[in-house]
Amino acid sequence: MARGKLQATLAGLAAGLLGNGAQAADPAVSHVDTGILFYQELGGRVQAIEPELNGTLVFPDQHILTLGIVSDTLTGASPNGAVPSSKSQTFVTPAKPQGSSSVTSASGGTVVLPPPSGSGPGLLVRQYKVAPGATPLDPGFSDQRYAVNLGWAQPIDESRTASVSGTYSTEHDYRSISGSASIAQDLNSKNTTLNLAVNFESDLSQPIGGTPTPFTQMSGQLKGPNGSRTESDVVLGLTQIVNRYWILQLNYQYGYSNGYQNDPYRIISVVDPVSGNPMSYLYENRPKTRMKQSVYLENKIHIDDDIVDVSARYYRDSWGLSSTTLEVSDRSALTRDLYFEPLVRWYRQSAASFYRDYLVANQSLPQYASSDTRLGSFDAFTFGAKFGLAVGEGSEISLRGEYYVQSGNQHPSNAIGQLAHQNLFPTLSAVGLMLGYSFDL
Amino acid sequence: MTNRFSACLRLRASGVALFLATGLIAGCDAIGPQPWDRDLMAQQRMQLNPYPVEAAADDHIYFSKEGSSGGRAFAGGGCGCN
Amino acid sequence: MTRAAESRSYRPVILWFSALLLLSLAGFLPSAKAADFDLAQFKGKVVYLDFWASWCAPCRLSFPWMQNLATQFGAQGLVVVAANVDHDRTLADAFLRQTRPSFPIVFDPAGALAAAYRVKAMPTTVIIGRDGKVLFTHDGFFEGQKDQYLADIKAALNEGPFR
Repeated sequence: MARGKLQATLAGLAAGLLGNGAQAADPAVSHVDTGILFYQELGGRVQAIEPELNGTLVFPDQHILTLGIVSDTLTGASPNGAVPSSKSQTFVTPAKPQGSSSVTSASGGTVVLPPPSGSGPGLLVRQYKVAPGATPLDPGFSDQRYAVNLGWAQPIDESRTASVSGTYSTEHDYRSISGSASIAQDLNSKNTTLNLAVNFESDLSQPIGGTPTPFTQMSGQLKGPNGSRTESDVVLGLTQIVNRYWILQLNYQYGYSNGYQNDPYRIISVVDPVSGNPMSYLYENRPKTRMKQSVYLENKIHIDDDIVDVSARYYRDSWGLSSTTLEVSDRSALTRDLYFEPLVRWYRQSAASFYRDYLVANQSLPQYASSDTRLGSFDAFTFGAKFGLAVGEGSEISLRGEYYVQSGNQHPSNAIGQLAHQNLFPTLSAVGLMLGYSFDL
Repeated sequence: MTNRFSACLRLRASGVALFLATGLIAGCDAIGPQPWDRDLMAQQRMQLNPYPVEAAADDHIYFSKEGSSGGRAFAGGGCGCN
Repeated sequence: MTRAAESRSYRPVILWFSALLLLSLAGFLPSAKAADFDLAQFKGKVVYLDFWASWCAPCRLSFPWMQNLATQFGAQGLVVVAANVDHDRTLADAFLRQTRPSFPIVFDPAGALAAAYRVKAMPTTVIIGRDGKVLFTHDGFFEGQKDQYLADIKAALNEGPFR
């Protein structure tokens, strides 16, 4: 998760919390969930440690307060968007002043240069080299993010519940604030629940050195002002308990985002039309607006003492990106207190219309272009396994391991010159380990 | 191939929505177990979001590595009490 | 392929329509009397019949209050009867061992008694008058409605020719 990608993760936190927490059905007693995630991408890429706490406080007659805190410590190296080359490459990027918590001059073989004249106090430039044939990774990056969420839910009458929540998330170069409200209507003796939720989010990107003008050359110069963005989402949901064993959830989500959508640190290589050698690097350019829709269906079925969970999601947006997700898990009791839950997830994504591995020097610039593989075409698999052990009334400890692998087209057939021998979509492999402890208050 | 698959998925999704809507129109108490048969649904492990910390961590990883987001909401289910 | 996919997606709808029809018909089946509950034995008394389950949090919370009712109004002819609808008897027994209520418990695991009284929520309390007729039905158990519950109980106790 490169610095530039962090702005996306924060939106994700808010999006993930949409309709969360306070709406949990009928919690009987106050409950606390804690966990810590250890995430490591293979090949010396990103590493993250993420402790999280989530509390649900139940007051008489189903008045519920939820509180969530998460802290995220990221280190490692992340792709900067350039393609590999048969020659060594050098990259520059603005760096935080020495003495602040982030980059030091010695991290990952980078060099801190004196700032270009006229760029003002406090701005340094970081320069790093990438070996021939290696995927260009920005090695000197670390960050610390904090987010807090507060929510309240209460019944309006015997068949209606309303909830509101707010989230604040901050890191050194990004801030996100969001609020959501929802209403749930029960029908059919509470076998059917209709749910309407709205979410509004405001993000501020404050990259080191400012936001670059899209399609300008990579440099350590002072750039533009902060970039802001807003997003509104609506979720329409239907939950149906089909029979004693089977609960089903069907959601439709619509989102509209407007503002600064770029990754301010991400570049795209401009290559020679014959040799494929990189000639220059430009900052990426994404559309200002993004309209997204998704349909999500989940089934949880109790079979003997097992619980099978099958879910599917279809997503598409105005950037031309679309995806299909399928996830299956089976929780089975090994003993009265111990359970085992394997999980498989398959994800297929089709690239955004402006996704490019690279740009070609003699061709006119497209309106938008980004080489962020996050917007590319790929298949991803997750294989997970979880063990959970009940350790008292309402208490449980758990251990969950996951292996995530994401692979795209490493050798597109139209790759130019030396690029035909380079890996243009390095496979991403990551392992995650999560320790959890939850208990009733 | 992708277009047909996604079209098929959309049709299936609308098919599910259609039959559920029909159930609602057909009258109350038409679909689902009796209120006294909600014992399995009342179990913590049958809730739609039984492990919020885990779900948030997963969402976070997928959001930062993939281009899609969202879809889930968590109202409903449970014991249906009160 | 597209045409086949469209017609395939309507077959489950037809199946579910039939299932719905059957389910609705099931609601009109004659109600069976639960084996171990006979209202006749309580003639002349006001019966506070409460349907509960071990998995139902408000049900569990209502037990101390119901114990209070039995103690406070027993002399005036109130009988609290708690009908348990757990599928798993051991779960009900575990809760009863903890609570040790003094009022009688009726076991209705098949839900026949609950169906007979058309229970629509958990918990449901049915207040039956001294002549055996249902006077009040309370869906759910709410802290904020205890005053209303008491008023209904007192009205039931004061009613009828037996007072």
